[in-house]
Amino acid sequence: MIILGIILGIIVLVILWYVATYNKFIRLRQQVKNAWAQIDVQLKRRHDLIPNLLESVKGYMQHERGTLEDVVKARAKAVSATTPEEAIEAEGELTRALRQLLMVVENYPNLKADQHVLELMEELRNTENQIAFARQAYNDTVMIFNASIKKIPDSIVASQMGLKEYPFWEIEEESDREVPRVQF
Amino acid sequence: MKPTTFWEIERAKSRAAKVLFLIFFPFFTLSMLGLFYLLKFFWGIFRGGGFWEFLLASSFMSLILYFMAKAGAKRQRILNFLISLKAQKPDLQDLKHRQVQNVVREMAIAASVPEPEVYIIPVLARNAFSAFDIISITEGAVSSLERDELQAVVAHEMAHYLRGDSYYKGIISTFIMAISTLLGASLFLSGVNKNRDKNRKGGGWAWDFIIVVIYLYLINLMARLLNAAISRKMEDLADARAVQFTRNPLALASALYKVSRDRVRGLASFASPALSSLFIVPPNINSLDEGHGFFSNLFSTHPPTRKRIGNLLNLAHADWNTLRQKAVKKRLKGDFWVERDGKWIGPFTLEELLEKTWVGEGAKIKGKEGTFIFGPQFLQKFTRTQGNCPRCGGPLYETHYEFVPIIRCGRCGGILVREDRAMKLIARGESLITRQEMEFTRKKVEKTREKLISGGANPKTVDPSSPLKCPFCGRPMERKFFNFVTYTPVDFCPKCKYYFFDGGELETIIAGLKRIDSLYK
Repeated sequence: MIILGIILGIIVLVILWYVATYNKFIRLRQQVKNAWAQIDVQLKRRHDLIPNLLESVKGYMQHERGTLEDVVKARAKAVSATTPEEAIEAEGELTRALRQLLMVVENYPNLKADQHVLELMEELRNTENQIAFARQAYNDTVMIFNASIKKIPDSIVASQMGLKEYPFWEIEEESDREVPRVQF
Repeated sequence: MKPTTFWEIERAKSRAAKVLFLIFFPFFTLSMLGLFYLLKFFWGIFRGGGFWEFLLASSFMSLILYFMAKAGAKRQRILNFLISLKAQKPDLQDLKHRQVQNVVREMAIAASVPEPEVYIIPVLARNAFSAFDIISITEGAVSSLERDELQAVVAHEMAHYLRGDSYYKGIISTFIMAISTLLGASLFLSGVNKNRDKNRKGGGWAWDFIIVVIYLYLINLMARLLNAAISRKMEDLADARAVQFTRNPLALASALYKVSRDRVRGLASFASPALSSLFIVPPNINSLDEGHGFFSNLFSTHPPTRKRIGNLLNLAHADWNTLRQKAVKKRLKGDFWVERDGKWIGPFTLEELLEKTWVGEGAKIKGKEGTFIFGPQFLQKFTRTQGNCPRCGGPLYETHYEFVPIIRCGRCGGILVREDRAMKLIARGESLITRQEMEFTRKKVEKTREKLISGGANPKTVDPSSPLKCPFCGRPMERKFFNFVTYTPVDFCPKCKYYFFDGGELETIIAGLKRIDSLYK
């Protein structure tokens, strides 16, 4: 009788643990998906913003054709990317091109005096930062997720649910590792 | 793990509440228990009560207080406080305010939480606080902080928001208030009782009351110490969390440095002691000058700002010199000089020149390409707006003063600004005013004072011209002093809510406030 009770107790505990772990994984997966969705929203916003920005700075920056063209090319590539791998690569290129542009702008005092350009620049900086922070948040969540599906004994539940590790959004360059410290 | 939903923030809040319950509930219960015994011992009140009855009664009292406090820690109280300060949502036509709004959005993404509400308090003091899902920053802070520093301040506030710290602080202030009230009541009663005793025993000290008062005083002291210790810990944690979000410790260090070097201590009079622990630096003192003694540290709700900055500098592998260099506002070297009262002032950039309201038609300007005379053609790239200058009838243009939208006369330099934006101009202008301009203002204000003494303290004494007509509605404008520091007479249209500053008046006000501040430094 006692043994039966103990066995029953253990079974109940195992079921409770299973349910709790299952729910935890569902929640974590949702967090990762949310973080990814955030990045997606920001990337789209960036694509929409660039043509406007280029249109207004074109007149001021005759000597920076190369920088501007780099941005246009990178944007076209990013918009037409179909697979996630392609997207990550193209967006990385676009980030570098835009960062170059933001740096060059510092050398044009006339540009900084134009309220409209300043507003667009602020929006661009905002988008760049949002992407960087979204990526940071995504990587942090992925790290937690990946670590927790490998933990024993939770990994049993994870493998039954068919959960796999999510990829990190890798940072290609050392200089990219820093969150932008842009300022006026 | 990072909370991702409101639900998790709520959970963080309840965690704060649990900690409170574990620390303050027994504390308050024991204090009440002691009080019951004292009352029984001296005056035989609750004579029949034993330990268990007292314990039951005092825990019941703490429980009621706790629930009252919980109900009182309401968002609406903070909103009312903000309304009383005339705080507003960011003005999105102003680039600097838009930056604040954007930075909040960025930090919400970094922390993976819904975006909190932002309010800007229109005062010159530099500070920020958060309560519930509301973050507010003063205009002084917004104007003096760079983008990355604003980001750091918002990240710090976001960390408080995530942990539900304001909720804790709201509840704790009620507990401390209850103890203070008891203390006040017993002090009052001891006075009453002394008089009554006089009739009976012919005066003398009411020792029993003195002991009760001392007892309550000690309890009060302990509660404050406990609260200060917890609050200091919270600030340190919020600093750490802010760095986790921004990965930029130097920005937070320089933000704290700038905010604590605030010359205007104007917020002290607004913030009640219960609210003051919510601010990023204590609003009542110049916190870099604050005492470093053992006792001042014990009672402070914030760790010494110097220590906080030191910790952040360690994280950034930087020293105080780097910090000071970062904190100095870099002025662009222009190459324009302008004549004022026979002196050449400058150098300014062209943009700075257009922002000086005392530069009007006929002003002599010296540039690289020689000397020329200022006229409306300089403003032609801006949009012309309807109506004419109320002072000189010149054309009006929509321009910006340090990103704040204003309407400027192309001829006399007078400007029109919406009432709610007037304070912003003054906060923004602080860093633009040069030493030479300060000199002019000093003389001007002295002259004004002399006039006021001989002619009576009336705006008409300083500016006797006939009332101006509002360029938008055509009604006569009211003439009043903008403040009682520089006694600058300005015109105001009560219907359109627009101020008109004559050319140079804005700089007088800004420089005047700056000068007065430095007197008290």
